Amino acid sequence: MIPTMIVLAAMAQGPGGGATLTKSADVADLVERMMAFDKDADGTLSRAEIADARLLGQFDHADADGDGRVTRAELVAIGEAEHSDTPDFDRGPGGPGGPPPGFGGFPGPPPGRPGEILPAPLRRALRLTEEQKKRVDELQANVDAALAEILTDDQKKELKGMADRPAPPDGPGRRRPPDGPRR
Amino acid sequence: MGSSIIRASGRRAFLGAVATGGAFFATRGLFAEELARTPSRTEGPFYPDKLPLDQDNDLIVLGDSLTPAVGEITHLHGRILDVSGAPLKGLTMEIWQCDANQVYLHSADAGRNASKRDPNFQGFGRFTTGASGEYRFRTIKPVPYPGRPAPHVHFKIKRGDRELLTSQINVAGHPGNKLDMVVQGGISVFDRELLMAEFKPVPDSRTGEWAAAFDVILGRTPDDHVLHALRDAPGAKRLRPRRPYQSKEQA
Repeated sequence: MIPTMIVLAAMAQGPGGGATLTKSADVADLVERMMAFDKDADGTLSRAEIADARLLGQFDHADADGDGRVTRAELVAIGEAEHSDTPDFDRGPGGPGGPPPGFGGFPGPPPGRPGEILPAPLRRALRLTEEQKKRVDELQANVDAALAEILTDDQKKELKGMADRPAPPDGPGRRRPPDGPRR
Repeated sequence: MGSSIIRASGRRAFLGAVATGGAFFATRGLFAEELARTPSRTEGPFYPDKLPLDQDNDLIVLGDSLTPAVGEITHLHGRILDVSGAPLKGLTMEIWQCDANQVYLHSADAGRNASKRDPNFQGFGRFTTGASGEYRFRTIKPVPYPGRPAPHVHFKIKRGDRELLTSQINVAGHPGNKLDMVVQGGISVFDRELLMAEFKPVPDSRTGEWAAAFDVILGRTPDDHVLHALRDAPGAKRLRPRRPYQSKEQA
């Protein structure tokens, strides 16, 4: 069981899964950057305060009770609902592109860890039923156990090392989140 | 109501029409804070490997052809601005997308699906901004395809041959967005929203046309993306930009 856990943990981050934020960091980012529009500093946002028209859709979506104001709690709720742990599969120019790797015959490793049969994004895309998810989980457990027996301890360590390695730096033309002052 | 889109029946009239860009950032200058930059996304494998002869901003009609492309006509327009909301002129926006039959203008895709490809869809277009920073395209409403449940329009912003931003425009509210790995992957909730464009029916359009407004915000100088890449690259301490970029507006 322990070797299985090592393999399971090894690639939890997913290859190339660059800048995926944790859920709490993502929610905090959303709250901070939306609340930057709170010009009258009353702790809630009004639609008129959203000076950037690109964010009006987000405002309307967040205004769950439709009272024309958005509170921190409403932003937290929408941030938690919309956060995604899907890794960024962009690996630079010449790498996989439009269709995700593994789809439509395009080359490239699927997102997820080595040996993972159907990573979460693929499960969502395929809309697996609960019964199917359960069966895939069982199959995955068997695969993990078998893989753990095949690999030597050194190889498991190497795999873990690869997973823990920081994402490669962005190059020109690659996707990178905007940084610096923003809102 | 109050659409800023100027509708024109003819191709020539469309090309000459000036979409006024609407009331985006009407409050520009009120605040010292910066506008959030448009996030970049993967280029994908289908930037045309052979550019079409016709590269104008009307993707619906090829050359002098009388047969329009299949699909729902969409007027995609907006402005390219810096983080202070100032328009950026002399920038070229390129867009590319698959046709209504899900085929890209790329040998790797069109080669496999030659029989499916819509021969009347331009698949790629260009527009260079003037002093207002505005751009406009007439194209089709993007469609999903296997592997990409989110319909999208790819775009690049260039100054000359220098690429400043590569990203994708998504259809706000489309159910495929939640299932799409490019839309969802490695991006914050806030930034994801900046790549959404609301597709609104053009009032009184007999052919069911759409209008989609999408503004692009680049860094304080458009070279920021390149500078950041240099800064973050291995051995970055040795790298210095030889000529700091200065736009004409700043010069």
